[in-house]
Amino acid sequence: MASAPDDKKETFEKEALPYLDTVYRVALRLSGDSTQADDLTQETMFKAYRAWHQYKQGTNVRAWLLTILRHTFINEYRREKQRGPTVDVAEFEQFTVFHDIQEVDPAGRFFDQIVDDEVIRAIDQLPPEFRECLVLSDIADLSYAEIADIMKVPVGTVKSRLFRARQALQRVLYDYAVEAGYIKRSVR
Amino acid sequence: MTSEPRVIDCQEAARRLHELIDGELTPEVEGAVQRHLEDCAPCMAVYEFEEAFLRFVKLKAKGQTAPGDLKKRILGSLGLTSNSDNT
Repeated sequence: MASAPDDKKETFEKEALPYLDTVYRVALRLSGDSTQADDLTQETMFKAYRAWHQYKQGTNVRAWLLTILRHTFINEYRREKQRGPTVDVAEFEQFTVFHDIQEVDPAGRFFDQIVDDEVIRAIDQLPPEFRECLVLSDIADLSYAEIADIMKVPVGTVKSRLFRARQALQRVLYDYAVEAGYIKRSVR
Repeated sequence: MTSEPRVIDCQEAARRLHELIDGELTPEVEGAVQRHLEDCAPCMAVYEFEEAFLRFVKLKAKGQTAPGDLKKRILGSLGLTSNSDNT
């Protein structure tokens, strides 16, 4: 029969460790710094292991780990580093770039020419509260309710921030694709 | 007596597209948006574009994995031995 510490190790390895890469990706986008992301990931997994007895079996372990990550980031890391300039989300038109490109590339194939680093750079330009929603949804695959719970905001706020974050990201990537010559800017 | 199925316009469909893609709509609203898309080619085109865009963002943003030495350090500090996967 496995002893209690062995059981803890076994369940943690089986249930929490598979999300190490997700924790790292979210840490990287929240901090914008690979050294901080390393430290944040290590600290999150360490705290999670120590508090493993508090995790309710059968609930979403990914959301639980990311809650620990976010607390750690806000309390210990957020003020340490000045990030680069962010885009003004309010400045962007609140609708899809589809209407700009429907004549030339309705399937949006130009996106496929954009490399990973450029997408990451565009995500990092979003203001923190918008970036956080997008990262928790599109990198960590959490539901709106789980994101609302982690960020302590109403579900409606998550919905609205996520929508605006994605539209701003789309517009930034479209502008980049135009500048890079992947697509011609249409005149509306 | 059954009530009439809900009908929505293009404006509401556009507002609901991301929620539809994210699987966040109630069955009633999801049905209404899907019925609208089936009957409205312009909205369907926007839906397909948005779905492709979100698929693209998720794919690109999930490319990074935790460095191997970080994984080893974490496993070592916790006294664990197994390898984590790529999520």
